[in-house]
Amino acid sequence: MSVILSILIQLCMYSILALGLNMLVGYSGLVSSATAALFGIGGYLTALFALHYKLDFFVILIAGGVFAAVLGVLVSLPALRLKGDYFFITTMGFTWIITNIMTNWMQVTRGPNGLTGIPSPLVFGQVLNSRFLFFILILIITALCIFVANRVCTSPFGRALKGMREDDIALEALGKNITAFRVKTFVFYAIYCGMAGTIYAYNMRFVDPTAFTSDESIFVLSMVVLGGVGSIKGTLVGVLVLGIISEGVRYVGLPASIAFQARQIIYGLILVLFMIFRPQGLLGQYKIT
Amino acid sequence: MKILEVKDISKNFGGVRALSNLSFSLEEGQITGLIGSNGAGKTTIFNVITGFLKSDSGQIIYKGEDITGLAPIKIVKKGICRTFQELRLFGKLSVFENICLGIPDQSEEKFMTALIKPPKVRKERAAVKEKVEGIIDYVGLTPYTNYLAESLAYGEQKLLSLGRFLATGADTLLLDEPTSGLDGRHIDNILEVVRKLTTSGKTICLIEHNMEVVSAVSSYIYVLDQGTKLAEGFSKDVMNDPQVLSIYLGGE
Ligand SMILES: Nc1ncnc2c1ncn2[C@@H]1O[C@H](COP(=O)(O)OP(=O)(O)OP(=O)(O)O)[C@@H](O)[C@H]1O
Ligand SMILES: [Mg+2]
Repeated sequence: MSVILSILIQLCMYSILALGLNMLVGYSGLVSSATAALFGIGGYLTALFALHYKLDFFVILIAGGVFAAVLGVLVSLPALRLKGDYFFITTMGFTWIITNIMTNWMQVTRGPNGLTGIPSPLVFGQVLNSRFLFFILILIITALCIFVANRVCTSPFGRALKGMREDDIALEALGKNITAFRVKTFVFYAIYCGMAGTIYAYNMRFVDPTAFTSDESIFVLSMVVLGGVGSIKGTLVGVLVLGIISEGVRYVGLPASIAFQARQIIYGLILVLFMIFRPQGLLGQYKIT
Repeated sequence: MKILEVKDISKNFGGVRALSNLSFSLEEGQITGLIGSNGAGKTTIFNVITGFLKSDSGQIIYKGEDITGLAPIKIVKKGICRTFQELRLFGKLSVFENICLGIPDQSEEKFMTALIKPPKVRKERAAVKEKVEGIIDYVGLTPYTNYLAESLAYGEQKLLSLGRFLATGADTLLLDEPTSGLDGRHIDNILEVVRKLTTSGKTICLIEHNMEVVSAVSSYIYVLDQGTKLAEGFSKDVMNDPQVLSIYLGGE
């Protein structure tokens, strides 16, 4: 039971990550490699706050999102004015910096050992010990995240983003501030990643640098690509398919050393096959450029 | 009255001198034609005026104000908008949505307003819808309102590109070859819309290849060749200028 709950919580967490990334890739047309770094910022911030202060879960959740967004924007603002490769490389640099801090700032992050013993979350002053109730809480948060993503994407704001994805120069010629749109989608993405980090930390009860590597960024990107860039439904389908495959492989009983490789090979293969045969993903309309 | 003045603009691309000391001006409320053979620099001067390219030297004056080097969105806010030779429509959006994106200052294009949706946005949405439908009607695309832009025939796409930039409410409109690639009937459709625009007080600059088209609608014409002004004058005079004819017919 606890295993199933844990998997379900992971799926919720991936949904939030993928929705965030979809907002960026699917609407701004920016491919970021910083997903895991922002996710990690949320995770570490949560671990530190939960270990050292008696803060409410929601306070930490919001702090995780905001902190990831602030750091992310500081680093990527110059690159957001440009497009494409510059942005991708900047986010890669950002990931290296964050990974390095996680691995080397011993006093705070305890390096490769990670931070262990994260206590049960404090929700409205109550310690939430029940795994089931924690899952319900995460489910509600995930539903809210889907609701928000859907609401903004179907609004005139979302329409402008779609225009930007189609042709940013044309949108600019019509007088729309495309840099502002890019920054906003990046902030959205970073907040979602940071919040997912909070969920991760409370679900696993420990964080270490191996949880926030580039593999994780690629995994989330695969979910978005598989489901269909620019489609919220598609993104969620991508999360379910890849999430179940990868968790399934983990619990099918393969020796740990092979399980990891098996997981990577399977989703690598899916990614390659989709890029060749259905670049717009399962439910998407757009090809990634 | 001169509403837009291009003064001594030069622009090099590496070794290519696309514009050299080009000067001309647009009269308020009139259609001014800009003609010239391929590579004469017509699109480049539009790019410079609208802020998509920085010129190497020279000035752009709009309504008496120096707007040289301003960012594209600032130029649109000042009231100058342009179309693209290659249209650049939002292909996977409908005709309706394409035109919506031209409408300025929609509060629901802000993230927070889109999320919160305060009651006042309903009224605004209705106003935008009405405006957009008006424009769709103006350019004669009402039957295609919900079609994807990419599914339209080329002639309709050109009308959509016109409608989209009319939606910005700009009063100076720069049109880059609005009739190229069209047959007679569609050319007439476009010209009808263009003429209608000047009666509502818009200033228009029209890039054209087709001599008959320009002379039919423009009151004044500039002829560009290799980035400089070869000739200028009232339509009839320019059309009969032997130098223009030789360059033009030779270049065609
Ligand atoms: N971005 C650019 N980079 C390099 N060269 C350019 C660029 N844009 C235009 N040019 C060059 O500048 C010259 C003028 O081009 P421009 O597009 O302004 O011509 P045009 O008059 O619009 O021609 P056409 O009738 O074919 O549209 C050409 O020689 C063109 O190759
Ligand atoms: Mg041109």
